[in-house]
Amino acid sequence: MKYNNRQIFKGLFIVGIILLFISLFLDWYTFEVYNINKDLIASWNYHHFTGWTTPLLDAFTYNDLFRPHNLDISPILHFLFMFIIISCAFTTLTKDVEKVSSPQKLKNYAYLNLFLLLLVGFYIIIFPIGYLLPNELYFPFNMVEDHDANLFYVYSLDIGYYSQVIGFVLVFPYSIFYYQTITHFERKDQTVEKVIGKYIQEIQEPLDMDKFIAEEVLKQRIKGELPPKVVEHNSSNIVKKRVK
Amino acid sequence: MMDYSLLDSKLKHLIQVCKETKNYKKIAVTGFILISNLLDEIGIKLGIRPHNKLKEEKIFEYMRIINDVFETNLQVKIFSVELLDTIKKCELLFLRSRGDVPFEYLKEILNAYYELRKLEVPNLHEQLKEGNIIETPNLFSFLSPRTKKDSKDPNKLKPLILHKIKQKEISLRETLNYKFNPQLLETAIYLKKVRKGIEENDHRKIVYQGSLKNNINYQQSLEQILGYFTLGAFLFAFLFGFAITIETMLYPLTINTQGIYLLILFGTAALLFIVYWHYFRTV
Repeated sequence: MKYNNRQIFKGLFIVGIILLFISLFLDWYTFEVYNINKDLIASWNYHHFTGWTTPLLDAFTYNDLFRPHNLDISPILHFLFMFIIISCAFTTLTKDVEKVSSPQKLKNYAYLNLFLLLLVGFYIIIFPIGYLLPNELYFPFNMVEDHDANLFYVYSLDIGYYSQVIGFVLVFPYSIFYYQTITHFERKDQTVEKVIGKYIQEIQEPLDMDKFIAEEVLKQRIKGELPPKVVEHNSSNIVKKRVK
Repeated sequence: MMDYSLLDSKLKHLIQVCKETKNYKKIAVTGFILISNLLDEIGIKLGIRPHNKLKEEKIFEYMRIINDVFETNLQVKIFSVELLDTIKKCELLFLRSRGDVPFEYLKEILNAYYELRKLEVPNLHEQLKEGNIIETPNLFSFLSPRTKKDSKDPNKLKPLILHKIKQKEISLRETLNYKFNPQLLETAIYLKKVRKGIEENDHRKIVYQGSLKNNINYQQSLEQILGYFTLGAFLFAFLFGFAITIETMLYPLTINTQGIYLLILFGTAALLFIVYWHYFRTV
């Protein structure tokens, strides 16, 4: 089976959508603290729904001391993102631009895809600049040595963020293609010809040739000069009736 | 194509009976109604208003309007001067004599009707068929993406394309003025549309009929998806590089570790941009 670009990128779009969705349930950021002996003394992971969580047990007494500030991203945004992801996946699977009677009907879905790109853009760019940087959480990866305390701080974006990035790159081409197709192509309604044909018929002067013929035949009959040829003609009902 | 066999048969019959009753007026009236109706059809198909019977617009005047519109726009005459003169002569006589025209004029009226019927003008409300475009593969090969790839500045091709189209238009015009051909007229209109589109560089929608999948423009646009993929990767690399730049500005000490990321991201962004610009950018 031969696949064209559209089918390939539609498949990639679906993979991207799945990655975007899964990324919301993965860790987005990791902050770890090591002592001079390279022993882990604190570890915090950021998750959009649960905030900062630690994989370390209570035995790590210093762990709580290094807990980063809450990032305060509204959970509404995450739910909205999830809703948009599900909607886009649904429309892409059910509303095929090649199969729809008119691409114009899918305009709203194209805007929905663009909105999805905007939201992904927010997570990729605004999240590090607007939420990580103000809390002195460096990205994409940074290791800072504190000579006074003999500690190493490791800052890094986590798998959730990278899934989001891959998702964006996979979703972008098909979303833009979908939008471009819908805004650039317009299906011409085939009923236009019918409407034109009807209009031509309406404005044309009515011409009843059967009536004209019948009138002339009648004249001839009155004069008694009706030729047999006219009686035989079968295109005019009026003529037939008159002849009878 | 319209089937005129029944109409012709009736007309023949009418002429026959009218000749026997010597009622030539009826033939003349029928002839003019047929001409008027045919002209309405021609006018509407060509995108011009119908014959204004309420304002007693004469048939030859309406024919002149159609000719004027096409002469102004395409320098093409739809109706020949001889045909127009014949109809004018017959119509004026018909109006003056209140329908009583001599028998020899009837022949001319009917001949004019059959001449008009030969025109078979294209319905411009229908989608122009690309198959009717003569020599378009050569002409429009300038517009194909493959040629764009070879050109460093696609705008430089614009005058050349316009020149080619204008040349083609002139030759079509000459052919059409010599002998009317509906396919050539359709081509001339199509070329004018293309020329206007290039000149105005507008972003009008591409109108198609039938299946989108079979549309040539759509099939060509499929190649663009790869370009969008490059564009998406470029956008990410550039914007993420921009975010790291802000980070290094806020925390200058991080430049030692972030420098390598900046180099990779902006380097990738530049590379992707060059790829996109050279291979996928639309005019």
